[in-house]
Amino acid sequence: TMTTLKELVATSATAGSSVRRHREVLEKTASECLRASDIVLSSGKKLVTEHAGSLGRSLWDTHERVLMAALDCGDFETADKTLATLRRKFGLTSQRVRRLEGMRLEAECDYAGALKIYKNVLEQDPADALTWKRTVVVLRDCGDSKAAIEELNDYLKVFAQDHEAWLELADMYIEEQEYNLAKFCFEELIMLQAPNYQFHLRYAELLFTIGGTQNLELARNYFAQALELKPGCLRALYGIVLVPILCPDCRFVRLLS
Amino acid sequence: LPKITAGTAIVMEFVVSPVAYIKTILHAWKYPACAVNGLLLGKMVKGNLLVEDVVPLFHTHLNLTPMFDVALFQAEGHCKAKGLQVVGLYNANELNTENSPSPAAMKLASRIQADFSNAILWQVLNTRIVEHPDKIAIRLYTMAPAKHWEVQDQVGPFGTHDADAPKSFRYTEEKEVLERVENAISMYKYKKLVDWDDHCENCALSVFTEIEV
Repeated sequence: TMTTLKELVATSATAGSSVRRHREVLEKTASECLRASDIVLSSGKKLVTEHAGSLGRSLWDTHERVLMAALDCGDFETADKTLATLRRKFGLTSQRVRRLEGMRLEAECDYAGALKIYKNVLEQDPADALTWKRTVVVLRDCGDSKAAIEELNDYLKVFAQDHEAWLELADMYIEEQEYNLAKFCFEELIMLQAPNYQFHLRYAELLFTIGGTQNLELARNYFAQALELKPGCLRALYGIVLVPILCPDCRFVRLLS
Repeated sequence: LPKITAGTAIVMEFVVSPVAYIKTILHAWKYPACAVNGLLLGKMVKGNLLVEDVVPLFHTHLNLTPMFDVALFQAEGHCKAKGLQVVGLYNANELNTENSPSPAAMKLASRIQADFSNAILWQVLNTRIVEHPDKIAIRLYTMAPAKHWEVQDQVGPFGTHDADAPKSFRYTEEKEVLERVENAISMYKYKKLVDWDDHCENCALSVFTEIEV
């Protein structure tokens, strides 16, 4: 990923870069879920302002991405221009546009204003998952982690298969040092996506953090599982080596001696 | 030499090498949406603490311990070669408005303090991480006798070890350090910075890579 990012950055920076390269930047950052807002902004902006015709059906999606990247980079001028364009195209009552307006307020730290918009949208469409998740983000940004956790738990009762949400919840629990609750989240994640090595890996690290011989032994099993799913995974290798060093009375040491 | 504390007055200088400070800021700059942390490496010089370098650690799930343990092992090996020790921890929170060390950061710092009694904790002040900095963006914490982390009035002075200089330090002006931070940011030096998470993604990258700042 490091080399591709380098190429992407080089592409974005070059003035004479072709339309194809800019589109490549947007595609790669989308497919690899990279939050590289600086290059998304520069490539995306170039495309929507100068080569809008080449975007075809992804024109408006690209506008949305440029808006979000602009908010991430603090470029409010571009953000406002893009938002105005989207408003003109889709109207003030469009749910998606209103969510973007909420995000614009979030970027300015106007959390009360953003929440108002989101609550309004959810009154009209309680199943709008993306907007619901934005309310969780706003609560977290306000520093009210308890409310954010509660809201996200409510969300997950309805959308129990949303692995991004489970990951966010696990992240919040880890921050609050509620490792057993975070463990539960990763158990859900492993059930949802068993071949994903990252969940086994984080689960192992959580068990390790909680501590105790049994947990360390189990952690080593999960590190081994992660290694099997991703050969050469360095974190897993470190974990496998570390457990017997830090836990001399674990069963792996007894088996070896 | 043991630290002498009279009330809350500490009779010990905490000298900061510009490279250590700049690398800390670059780590925070590289991952603006994440909490980051790292180890402080340094040594005692005539009863004063010099922070000479930092080892950037994580930008994901800072509170999990196994990789921290491995990083400590490796840092200790690196330190032996350089005549340094692990002398503390730096921590930057995810929320812009959170300028106090998180409970987990204090826990990790306390672990380091158990092995090195003069260990310190740097808390990064997020709102001061800007393109044109005019203030030092970290706050220094030391371990009070009552075993809690106590904030100190100032960080620094800035300087490097020089056996021939008076007091054994060659001091650097705060203004110069801030200029160097601004330069490093504008020249994208943070893209070269490698932290432990980056190393785990690609083991060809080393956290001990030197950066020219």
